[in-house]
Amino acid sequence: MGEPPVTDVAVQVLDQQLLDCRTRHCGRVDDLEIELGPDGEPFIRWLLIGPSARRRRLRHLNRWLPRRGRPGLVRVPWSQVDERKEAIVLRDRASVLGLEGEDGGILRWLRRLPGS
Amino acid sequence: MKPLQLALGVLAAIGGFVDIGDIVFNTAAGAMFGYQVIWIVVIGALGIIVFSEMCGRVAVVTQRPVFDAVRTRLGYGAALITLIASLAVSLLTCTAEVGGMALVLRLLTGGDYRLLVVAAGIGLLIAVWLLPFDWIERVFGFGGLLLVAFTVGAVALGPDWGQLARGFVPHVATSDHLIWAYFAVGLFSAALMPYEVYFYSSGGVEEGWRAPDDLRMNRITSIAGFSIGALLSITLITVSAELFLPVGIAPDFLGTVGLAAANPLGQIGLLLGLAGILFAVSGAAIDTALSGAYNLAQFLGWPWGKAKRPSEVPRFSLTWMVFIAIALVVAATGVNPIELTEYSVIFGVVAMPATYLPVLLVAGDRDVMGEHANGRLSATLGWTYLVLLTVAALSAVPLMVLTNLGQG
Repeated sequence: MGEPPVTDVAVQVLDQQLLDCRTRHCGRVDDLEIELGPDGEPFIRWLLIGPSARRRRLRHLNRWLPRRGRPGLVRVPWSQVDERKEAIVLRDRASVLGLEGEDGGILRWLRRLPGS
Repeated sequence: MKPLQLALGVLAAIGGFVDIGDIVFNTAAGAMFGYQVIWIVVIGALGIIVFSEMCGRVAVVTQRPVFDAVRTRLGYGAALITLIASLAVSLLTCTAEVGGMALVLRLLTGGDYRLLVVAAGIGLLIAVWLLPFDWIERVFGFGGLLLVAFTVGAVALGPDWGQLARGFVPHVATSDHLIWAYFAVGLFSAALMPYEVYFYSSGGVEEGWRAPDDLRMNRITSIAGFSIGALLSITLITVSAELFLPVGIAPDFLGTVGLAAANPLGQIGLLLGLAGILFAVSGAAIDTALSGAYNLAQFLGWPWGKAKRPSEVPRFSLTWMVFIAIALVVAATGVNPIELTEYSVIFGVVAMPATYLPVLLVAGDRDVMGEHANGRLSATLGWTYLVLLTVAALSAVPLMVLTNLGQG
């Protein structure tokens, strides 16, 4: 039995929860980049994660939204996908893939509080 | 299944059912229409039982909370609108609950309202920071059980049991149809506020519910906890119908409601009743703040969980803190919490169809839920309630405007 059509896979993975190799939550599949292979068949090349990817999905509304300085887009290659069940499990750590988010400043502040 | 764990869950659900929205709408509706609104509360309670059981079942089987289903089933655009609506309603409700806490504290201490708002907000921040998840549920759920003082009050008032029983039969006996419809939507909405299922299902995932034991616990907690919780709501209607309706008093202040428990039990009753309201609104303030954080984190795929250390879930922790801080600042401006409650309940119903539809879709999906997918009864009830919710959502804001928040 061959791979299901790429459009079916795309529908299944879009918006799904991403977990890194330690099962830590590290974002959702906000968009996908699909390319044509040498055989002319489409395949999913990248998972796109971040505000820029989400904005693109708002289509016409996108142009009315204020722009931020940083693009806020992380590309994760499809080859990173280890498992596809209720969530998508990646092969590497979130920090290696650039999916740690903007925790640094918040963490520094939180760690000043007792019991953090 | 441990009987103690089950009993604790049921008791917490009973105490956690009533929040400021129920208190405001039940007492106001009881004072205006008497017992004829009871059947609306019953329909609302059945609705929250149907959906909370479904959300809990999805959490047990898939380990996924409600907003996960919202994002994956509705897609990004529609889920974003649901997120914004749910955050706005949860924030509005949280603010109303913080204001309600300060109102009760003012009755108990005689202090300055704004200072008490600040004290309430800081108290909430400390409580959520320090207490583990199950203790939050239990402390505030059990504290809310003090509302039983109103049940004792209601029985001691010697209600007209025949009229009360007739209240369970659907009927409308008023010429003020618009105002009645406004209160009907309000009572229905107050029982089904979406933050309750956001909190309930996320809590199920946090506590690591697993089939088959926790499926049974979920069913019993939803049915027993929320049914008996609804009886507390009906108690408030009874008290209002007996005390306030005959003399034409509109219980616009939480203190007026508290008097109902003082009638048969004296000062002790008043204190117990007010303490019950304080625990109920404090618990709901925490539920709404955590629901806001759960929803945002689940929508964006962040790490989340009250059971985890704040440093493991930094953005989640910051979100609930910001939620309580905003509620504190807005409530401290002196905005009327009772009015705010009416807005939160009425706007809450608008967000409901988009919250409950994905739950219904996931719970009915055999590929996801296997043998635990909705049966015929759950599916029929679920879709019937979705129709009712949609009608209520479409009529809520027009009714609010046409009746001037039920004032006529």
